[in-house]
Amino acid sequence: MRALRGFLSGLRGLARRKQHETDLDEELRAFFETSVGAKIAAGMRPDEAARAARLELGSPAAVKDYVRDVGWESRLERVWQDVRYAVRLLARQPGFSVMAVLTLALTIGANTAIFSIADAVLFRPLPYADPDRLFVVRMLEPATGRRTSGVPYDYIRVLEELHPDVITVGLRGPTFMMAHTANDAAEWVETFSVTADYFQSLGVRPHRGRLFDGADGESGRVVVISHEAWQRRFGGDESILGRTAKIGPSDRDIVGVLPPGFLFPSMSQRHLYSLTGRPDFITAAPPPVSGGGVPGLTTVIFGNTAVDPIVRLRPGATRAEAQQRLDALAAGVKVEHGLAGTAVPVFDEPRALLFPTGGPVMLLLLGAAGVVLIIGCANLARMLIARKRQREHELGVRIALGATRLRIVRAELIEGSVLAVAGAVSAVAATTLGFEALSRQVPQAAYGVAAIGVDGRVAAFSLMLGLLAAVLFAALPAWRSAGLDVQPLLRRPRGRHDRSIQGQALTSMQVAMAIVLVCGAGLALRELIGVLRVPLGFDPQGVVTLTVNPMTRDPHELKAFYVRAVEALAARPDVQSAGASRALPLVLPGANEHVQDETGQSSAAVVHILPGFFETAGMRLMRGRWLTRDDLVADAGAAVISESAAMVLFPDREALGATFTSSSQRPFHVVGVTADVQMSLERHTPPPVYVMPSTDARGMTLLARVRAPVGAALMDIRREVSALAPGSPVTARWWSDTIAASTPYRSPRFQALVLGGFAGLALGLTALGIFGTVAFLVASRRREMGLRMALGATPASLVRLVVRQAFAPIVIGVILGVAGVYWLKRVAQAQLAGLDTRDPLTLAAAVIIVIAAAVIAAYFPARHASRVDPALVLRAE
Amino acid sequence: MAPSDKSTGVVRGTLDMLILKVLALEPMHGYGVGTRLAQITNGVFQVNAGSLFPALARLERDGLIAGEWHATENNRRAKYYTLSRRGRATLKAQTEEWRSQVDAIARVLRLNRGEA
Repeated sequence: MRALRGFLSGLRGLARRKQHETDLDEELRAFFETSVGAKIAAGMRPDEAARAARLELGSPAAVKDYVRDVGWESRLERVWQDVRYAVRLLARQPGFSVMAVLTLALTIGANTAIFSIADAVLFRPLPYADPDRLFVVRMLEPATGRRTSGVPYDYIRVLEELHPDVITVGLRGPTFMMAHTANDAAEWVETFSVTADYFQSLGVRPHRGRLFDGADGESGRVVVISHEAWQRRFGGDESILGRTAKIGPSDRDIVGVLPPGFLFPSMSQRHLYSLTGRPDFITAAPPPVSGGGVPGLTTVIFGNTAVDPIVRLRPGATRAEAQQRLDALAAGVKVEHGLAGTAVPVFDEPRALLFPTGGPVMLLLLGAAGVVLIIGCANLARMLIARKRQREHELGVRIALGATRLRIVRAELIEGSVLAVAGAVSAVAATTLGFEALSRQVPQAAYGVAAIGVDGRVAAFSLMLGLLAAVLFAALPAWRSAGLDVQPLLRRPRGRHDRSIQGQALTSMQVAMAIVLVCGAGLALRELIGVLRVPLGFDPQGVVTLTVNPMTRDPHELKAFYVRAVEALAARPDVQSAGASRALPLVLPGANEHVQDETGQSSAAVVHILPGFFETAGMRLMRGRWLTRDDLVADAGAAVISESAAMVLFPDREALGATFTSSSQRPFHVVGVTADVQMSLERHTPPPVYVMPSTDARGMTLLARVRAPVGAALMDIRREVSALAPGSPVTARWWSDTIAASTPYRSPRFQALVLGGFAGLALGLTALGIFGTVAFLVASRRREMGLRMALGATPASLVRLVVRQAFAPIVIGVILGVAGVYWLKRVAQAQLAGLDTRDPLTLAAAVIIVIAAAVIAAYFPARHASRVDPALVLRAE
Repeated sequence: MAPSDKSTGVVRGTLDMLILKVLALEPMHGYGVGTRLAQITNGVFQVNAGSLFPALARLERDGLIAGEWHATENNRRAKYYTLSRRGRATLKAQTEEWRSQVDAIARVLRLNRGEA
């Protein structure tokens, strides 16, 4: 209460500072005049009375000062004074200030940029109610450690009915492209279908209207739209709830709008063409049923495999206990169905699903950005110390005039803070401006569908970081001035310098950190080169890929359409060859399927293709022949299998002529074996077997190898296909572009880019620091250099002398840096399983690069020393 | 910081209480408070302006006294301070506290050898 009153009156005081000042003046005048009046009344002469009264009052300025000191706002005012003083000082030395702000803007900017991504990936709470009790269920293959999305029906039933800790289970189908018709124009849109319990499990509340209930799934008449779709497609129409949307063939009532920023806990599939994982329309699915094939092996909603079930645990339940109970229940299911050795259901955090690989990498990058900041702070600390040496006399005067130590230290910290705030503001501004370019580099699949961007949190983080930096770089000089003694400050001639051990320690630290960063960048670069060097087994250059979904559900019509499209493309003069496939190497790996030969079961990806695919993709035939148009017409089950599939299916005999059956019991015979292609860069990719579709020709991608890969060809080909499928949107892209944009390429490129940038920045700052230190030393030893020259030292020997002396801290830094790399390797290896850190070559290269930068940085000021004219220097003294 | 109370002769920490007491008798301006204190104490407590005005400002901030501008007897404008209800309560509490402390100190000082 009292504190609040003090705070409020302080605010009033601040608001009415002028008024208070004049009031105080008048009060003091009244005091003086009354005092004079009283003294005259007591018989004093007017001039004597005035003199006595003045003595009594003392200095009005001092009295006012004391009164101003009452209350907290006075301290604020003095801080404000210090801020203005600092700004004036900095404005007087624009060179120093610009350098300092630039250093801060770059180093804080590095952190801001990374944090703008990392915040969403690592820290920001997920937009669900009580996200701690929310888990995704996935299937863990015990042998490989791989996690997959589809959970068998029997496990779902167990979770819903028997598991004591689970309150609700929500199911979602995979992304499904459906035609949305508005104003007589159809457009393919991403849709999800979810069960009634899905949004309830997430604890999400509708922005408008309602979400699904049990009856919606049966009726199939309603749809919920995303906030983005509401804004973009319906112009934020307030009466949206009465409207309908034509999804597929039927009109559906819009019953609700999802809140802004809602995020489906799902793996982003942006690398699969243009899927975003943020569907515009969400339909209601009826309760799940058991999928076909092996009984209970899949869960199906709305004809699609349900993926990533989401469960909410009861309050107080822990994940470990819930997992134990699930294990016990799952064991029962396994016994019942004879599923021993197959995958088991596990609870996963939604964050792990949303950002599958991004988390540890983001931590690493944040750490690297922090190191860059520390290197920058070391430079600033050195600059401040150097500058204060020039101001020692002024400091001495201030202390002698009664400035307290506290006040001086505070002034210096405030000066640092002024710089830091300016740096942080520039950093946020620069990141905001450059964010588009940055986010284009962010691999979506690794960092998910999170809303990344520069927001209030990022700005606050930058400002905090700036102030932390100010404490880091201003504390050392300020601490030095706290222990200053007045006398020597005033007496010592200006411009005399001593070599400080702190400056050398800063250099060592910078060198060590630069080595760590350069080494990290080198490792990232090598990983990137490694990925780029992987032999593909096919040639994506000059191949256009086209996706088109003609609006027909009839499988025969669909197949006929694709065949017609391939023929039309192949007939074009600018097209060398054309084909179609359901899986595309490095873009769409084929789905795993159980394939059976005469002896047993194996896993392979059954890929449906149309004739011309192999030639168009540029694959190599090892034995036998390719599939042809005759095979398609005959529909006799001819298959071409990859070498690795041959190894898996027929390890001990010739594959050519052998037979196998797919999971849908269709028999095939092998007519050709092709060299392996890189289907995906992830491990555990099933080996592909290529067959012709009998009836099922859904989801084909058309391919056309053009004679001259120019932009016009892409547009012409796209038009050709559009003409074949009027009213259906067609996506055409260069295969190589899609691959370059995919996560396995973008992730290492992103890391190499960011770490490379950081390493460059660190190297530059360190070199600048060394340059500054050596230049400073040389300048302060001009006289000594002149003397040495006069006594017969050669310029070359002087350069050697200076460089050698500058080198001691650098060598210490190198040793510390190498030790740091070895220590970090152990930490990083535990964090990043895929990272190969046993790479002495990279470390050696990093050491050489940093030493080279240090030598260059030290050489130039050293050469300056050798140009001293001894006569001039000695005369000047 | 305000100057020490040493020169004024006022026991440390009691100036606020004394001002409250003087104002409890009648509303007064700053000069009046100073002279009244000197009068009452026969010149033992000489409160200078450097101590008096910060103390008044502090009491006003804390809402123990309220200042209002009035004409003086010589027809000048001066700020007259009045004790507020909270000020009166604070004065009562501080006076009791002071009395009990003085009593306690007096008892200690009266203590003779052998007494407990």
